[in-house]
Amino acid sequence: MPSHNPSIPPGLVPAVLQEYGELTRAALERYLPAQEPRRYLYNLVADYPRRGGKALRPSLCLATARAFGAAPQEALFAAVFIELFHNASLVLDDIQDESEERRGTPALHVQHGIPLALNAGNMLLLLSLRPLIESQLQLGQQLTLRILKETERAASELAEGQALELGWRRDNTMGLGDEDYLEMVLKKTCWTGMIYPTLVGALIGTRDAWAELTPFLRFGFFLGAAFQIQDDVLNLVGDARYGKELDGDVREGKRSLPMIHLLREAALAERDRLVDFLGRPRAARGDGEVRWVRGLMDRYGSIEYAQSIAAGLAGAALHEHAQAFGRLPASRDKTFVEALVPWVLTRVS
Amino acid sequence: MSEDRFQREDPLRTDPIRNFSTTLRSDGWSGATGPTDPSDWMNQEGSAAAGGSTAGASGGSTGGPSFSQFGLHGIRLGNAVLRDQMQRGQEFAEQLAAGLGAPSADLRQLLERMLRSYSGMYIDTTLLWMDLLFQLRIPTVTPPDPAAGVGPLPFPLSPGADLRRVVERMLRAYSGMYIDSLLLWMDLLFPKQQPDNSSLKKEATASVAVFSSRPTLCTLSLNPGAETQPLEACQLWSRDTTKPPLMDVSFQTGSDGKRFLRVRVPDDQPADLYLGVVCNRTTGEPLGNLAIEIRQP
Repeated sequence: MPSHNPSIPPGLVPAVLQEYGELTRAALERYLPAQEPRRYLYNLVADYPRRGGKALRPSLCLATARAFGAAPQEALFAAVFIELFHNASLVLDDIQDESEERRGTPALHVQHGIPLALNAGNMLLLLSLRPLIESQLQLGQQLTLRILKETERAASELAEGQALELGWRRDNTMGLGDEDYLEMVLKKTCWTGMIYPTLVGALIGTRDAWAELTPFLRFGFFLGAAFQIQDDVLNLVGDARYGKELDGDVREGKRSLPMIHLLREAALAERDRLVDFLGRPRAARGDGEVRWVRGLMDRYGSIEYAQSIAAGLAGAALHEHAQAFGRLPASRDKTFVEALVPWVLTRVS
Repeated sequence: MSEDRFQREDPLRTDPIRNFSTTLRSDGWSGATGPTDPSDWMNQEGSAAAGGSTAGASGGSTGGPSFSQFGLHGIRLGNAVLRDQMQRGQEFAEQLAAGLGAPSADLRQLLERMLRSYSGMYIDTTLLWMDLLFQLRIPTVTPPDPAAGVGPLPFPLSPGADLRRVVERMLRAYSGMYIDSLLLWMDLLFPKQQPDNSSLKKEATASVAVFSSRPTLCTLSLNPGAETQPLEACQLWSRDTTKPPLMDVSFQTGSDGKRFLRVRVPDDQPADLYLGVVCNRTTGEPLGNLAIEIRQP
């Protein structure tokens, strides 16, 4: 566990997440059409955004912008885009991963079937662009264009990261190293999840006057990688608060960090059986086999290994926070962004 | 008692092996490349490795990598992945920049004319087909057979003037929306080269007094509601961390009782753009920002 600022008030992260989450969710309602066809499209479109969630991404954007002195309303367009886009990607992600639950409720495609869920996910992607287009009225064309460019980059990175992960599973790719995992995580999780919200928050906060944005990118990467590894771990050891299917990553054959470690460390015979297990379709991976894989992870210390890597990355994130935000005056928003670092390692959902 | 005491050799290790991966199987570093001494990674890689030192627990055993070393391993890999990705992104951006340019006003007009012209052709062609279709009486349409008890078709075989007008209006409306949205996207992607004053939209509620021997541009931007709060301007920083901050910036009250921002630029302050945050003096809440650009004389 990385050391962190003892002056961080307890409960700050949940409080800010709740405040900014409510602000974002209230604003995004305007972009969810209340019109026909409701039953086959718009009710589905509104489903995931209304299920709640941590609102980590929009909060990171709002807090970064505010730490630089921007008013919340200036960053709200971007925050709404981030939340809508994230929910759209979850709809598509759940289909691609054959996930059964999302936030404690059956996934959209489980409820409505893949064709309608896919269509709703695409519509949500499209709708997410509206707040960005509208933001030019407040932010001006140049800054809006800059944000759109970052948006295109982040969306491309997400698609590339998703392609890597899905491709590895389809081809039952073995021999992946930790660096392959981190590259996939950089693209799939970090870019849209942490890098983009931080970058855009900084762009809005500084009116794009601060050309050196690399520290924000580095902070987002290390924070996002620690977040994702903790997500991998929670999927294996989470409790009822986790909100996703426990051991779901094993069942889906995901190349999580604990799985990559296990593939590297397991004895030859165990590894052969593991390769066979991962090569089967999800439905053919039985409960007993999943328990066996999970037991191997305990035996080989794969979960502890992942946790120690996450702790190291979180330490790096704290360092990058100091580079990116260190010269700003102390404020609740600046402290919140810093407090996210230990929070990603201790969260339970 | 003999004075020749039995001497044991120094042990190869002095700590228990607590590393799970080396206890059960080969060490976990087999896939790693590069230096094997964690201190080398900290020195070799970028700034983040220094941050990694905060993550380190107490020193591990001498028998293999410790938890803290795994942490360093992660940081090192993270840095390498990030560096590669950024390099690739930079190369890609350079390629794009070489091939892209904003279209001129003429090009925009040309594109608009082209779109509207094609769209008009499309509508005319569609209406022509519609007329032809109903004149030719498509052979696949089976005429109603009153003897067999089949009712009339739910639409006329030849369109009335009203239907034709409705179709035409619908096509023109949709086509116009389509063209407008394309042009909007074009404007967004290639904004017109004109001064962008959006960042100055917020009404500054304080005058600014700048004392400088060089041309200095000052932009104060305050959030709504800031005018009633006690304001404090924090020191301003250049993005170049080697340059000293601009310190002499403060809100003061003039003889007329009105608040103003006073900026004094030292003669030896390097020319650059300096940014800072305006806060509530009591709560520290950020309420706006301040940009000061010092130019060469």
